[in-house]
Amino acid sequence: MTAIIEARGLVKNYGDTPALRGVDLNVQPGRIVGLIGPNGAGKTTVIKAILGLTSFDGELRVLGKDPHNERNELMNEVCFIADVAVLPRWMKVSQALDFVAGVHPRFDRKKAEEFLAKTDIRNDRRVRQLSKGMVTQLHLALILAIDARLLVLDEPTLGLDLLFRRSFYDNLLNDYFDKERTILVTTHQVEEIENILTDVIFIQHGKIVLDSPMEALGERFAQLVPAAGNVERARALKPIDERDVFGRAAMLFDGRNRAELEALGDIRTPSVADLFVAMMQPGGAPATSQKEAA
Amino acid sequence: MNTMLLLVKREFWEHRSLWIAPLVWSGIIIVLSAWLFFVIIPRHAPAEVLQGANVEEIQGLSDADREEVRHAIKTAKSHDVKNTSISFSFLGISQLISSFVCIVLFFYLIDCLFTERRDRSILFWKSLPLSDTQVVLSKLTVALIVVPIGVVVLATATQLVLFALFWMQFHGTVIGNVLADWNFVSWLRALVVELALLLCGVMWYAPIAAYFLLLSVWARKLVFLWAIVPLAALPALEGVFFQSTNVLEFIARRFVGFIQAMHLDERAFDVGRHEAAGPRIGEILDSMDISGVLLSAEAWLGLVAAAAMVFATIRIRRYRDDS
Repeated sequence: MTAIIEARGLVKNYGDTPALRGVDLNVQPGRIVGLIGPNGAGKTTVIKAILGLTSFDGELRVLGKDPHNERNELMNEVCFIADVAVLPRWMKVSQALDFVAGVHPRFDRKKAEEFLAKTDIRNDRRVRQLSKGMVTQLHLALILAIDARLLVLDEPTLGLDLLFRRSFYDNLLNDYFDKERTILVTTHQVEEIENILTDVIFIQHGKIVLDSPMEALGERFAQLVPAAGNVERARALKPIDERDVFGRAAMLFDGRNRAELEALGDIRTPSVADLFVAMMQPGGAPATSQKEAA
Repeated sequence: MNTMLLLVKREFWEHRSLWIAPLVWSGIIIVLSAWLFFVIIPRHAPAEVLQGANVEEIQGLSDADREEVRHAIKTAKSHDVKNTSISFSFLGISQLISSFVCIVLFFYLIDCLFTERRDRSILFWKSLPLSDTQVVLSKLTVALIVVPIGVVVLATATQLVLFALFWMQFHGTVIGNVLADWNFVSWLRALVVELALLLCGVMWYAPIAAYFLLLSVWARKLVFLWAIVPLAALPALEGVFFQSTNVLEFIARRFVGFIQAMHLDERAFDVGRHEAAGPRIGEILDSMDISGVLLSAEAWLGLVAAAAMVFATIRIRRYRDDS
């Protein structure tokens, strides 16, 4: 199958500051990919490159096109929500519907109206009169009604309360996602999206440090809470991270044989958040003696 | 094409001053004129002038005054003043509205590509299948085509209202007899003059509009100062350091030069030739020379400069990534 996004050796510098230092990506159709990294790691730069909003060195094809030079054609099949703040504040809800219906050949107005009917958003309201959560709902209503192959979400739920965040992702899964579509999402709130992701990519200092399907994480990583006498033996197996959880050591292992670990204590599959914390430590993995309160 | 229409419509949604401000301005013109017709003139003009249509019927007029009024009516007829008053009131109203609209357009042009970056809504527009060329051209279309056509429509509507008010107040009086009378041909001639002025004006102002668009897409902040300060500072600097006024003359020429190039100022407004009656619309039409603008190297160089600046505007909007 052709990749939706294919990048090789993506490099971008802002003056002397490197933003991306050789990023490789391969995103297949029908996946929900989380691009996760701390502030300044290069998430937004990757997304801008994919959307043709910035220049870069290296190879990048999105839906088989060069996003920088073929941006106009590409935007027929790619949608993005950059940030909750970007819907123009002067616009009326009805104008937003009219406008997108007029310029986007793949927009299904009826679908957007049906979605809006389930919210408190009235057609004659201006964006500036809506709450932050409602603006996001409106934006989502517009985007969900576009039959696009790739949807890119950059911190889409920033600044929203938990209820809106939850319903945002529920709507995304139920009303939008199917096997033909691909979603690339960046967020800080790893815990909230990890159960909807099919793939996870960690980026740090402009480099990809982890790129894995979710189901492979359990095979590769394990968290071990060693029995009291086994701590030193467990440490000898070189965990990539160790933390104190209620007075007991919790160690994270990368690529260790499960049976070998099971012999030393209780093991479980780490959450994406656990992995994130472990791999984003200063100095990067492996970090054997870092101790952090859970 | 539909996309372009929608983009143009969008500009009027966002920049409501584009249509509200000219409407308010036209309302002010109407209110002030009504005040003139119904309050000021009745208070200050001799009551007799407001009574009968016939000079002979006016009571208590001295022989000398009666003779003067008779002469005025006669001159009015012989010099076609009635027709001219229709033409010139139209031209006057059009000029009042179009100069005001120039100010509105100035603010529109420096703002339209600046605000979308400041409030980051540019990322929403860029998430839709719209090219930067379409977006920038839609803004230029608003400033150079849609709004000028709107000016003609609004000037016509305003004049009709003024004419109706004038007619209500002065119909059947000496003033009414001397001045206003609706005349379609005169109005049409004035319209031709106005359209010629607009056509030449739009062509002449295209580089100025493109310059403001370029500032709008380029400035990171203080776009108003970027637009105004060079226009004042460069001539001042030239004056201080070189004791010359070339820049000032260039700027002045870019703002009002097209009227000189149309030869409107030299022949048609030679008021002395017509005694009290002033220039006639027919003479303005005859003397007017739009080829002086449309075929001038100056105007075409301006268009080339405008095209270059529009091209730069599109490139900057396309490739800058600081949003």
